[in-house]
Amino acid sequence: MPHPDHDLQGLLSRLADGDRAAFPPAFTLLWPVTRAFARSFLRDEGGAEDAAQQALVRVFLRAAEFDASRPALPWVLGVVANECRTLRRKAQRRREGPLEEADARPDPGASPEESATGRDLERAALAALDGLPAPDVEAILAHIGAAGRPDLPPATFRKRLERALKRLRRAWSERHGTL
Amino acid sequence: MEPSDAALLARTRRAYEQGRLRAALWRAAPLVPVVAWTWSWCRYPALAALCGAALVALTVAFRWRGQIWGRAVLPGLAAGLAPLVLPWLMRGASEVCVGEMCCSLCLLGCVGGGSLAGVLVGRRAAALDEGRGTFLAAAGALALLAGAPACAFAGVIGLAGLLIGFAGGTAPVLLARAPA
Repeated sequence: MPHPDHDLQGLLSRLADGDRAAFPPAFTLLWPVTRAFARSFLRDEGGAEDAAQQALVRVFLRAAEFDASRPALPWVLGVVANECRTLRRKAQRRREGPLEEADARPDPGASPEESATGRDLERAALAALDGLPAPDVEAILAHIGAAGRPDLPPATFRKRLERALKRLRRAWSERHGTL
Repeated sequence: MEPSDAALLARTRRAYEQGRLRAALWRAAPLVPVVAWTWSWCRYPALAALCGAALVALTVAFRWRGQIWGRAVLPGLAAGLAPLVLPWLMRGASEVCVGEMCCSLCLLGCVGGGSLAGVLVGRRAAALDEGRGTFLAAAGALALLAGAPACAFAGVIGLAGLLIGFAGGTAPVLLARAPA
């Protein structure tokens, strides 16, 4: 059972209310989560660190707007994902540069169609996650390595993950009619 | 904590304060047309401008500060509607006399509006477990600043009536709920 002071929902609600004492624990809790999520999102160690820092700044910039009736973790990850996407687009534009400077070498990475499909899938997955309860999101993110594993016995965590995946599948099929 | 983490902590702290200020400014923006409207008909435009500027500045400051101060903003502004609207509606009315004692309806509006604001703010303050004084001070300041331009129709005596009405409306509610 986490201490209420260390609960993200409680900390963000206190920050939204203007309780400055919640700032240091919220920073300590959010920084590793943001960094891990940016790493898994961008898959680029150097860029991920910058993106995570900017994303964290963005999260605190918008902390006053946080609606305490909504789950905190999906809100935070939504802000971080948006920031990561923006930074990735900027980096992509910088890499592309003006047409006359472009050389004829083919891009060794994914094709534009593959990138677009990937982006669509990410957006759809985030939208489906957004509707889930906070413990479900926490379990799924821990499972894919984007956040720390909650302090639970393995069997409990397995059951929670199973339930969370079931709800995610249901949310996905309600939105997209597949799976 | 690493030096880079300390720098990030300072950066995020600045961002948090900036975000709060931005949200406070945004939420106080609807007051500007109300202040302009008050200024357009107030008997003393300088007083209306001063009260309006103070009202907007305090609303932003309380919203930015948050907690009890922030939670006092909406009740304070809502309570301020009574002393703003009642004297404004009665400004053209003549005096009402009881026996030999005559009093302008506008002044009665100030006292009545102030009392209503006092009761509203006092009830909300009395329901709090802690921070009653802070809540009362913050919400009361906003309610009085909102009502002052309308009570200026009745002159200094109108402003005094607003203050007395507010104190009279607040005191019984707070005394009734005060711990034994």
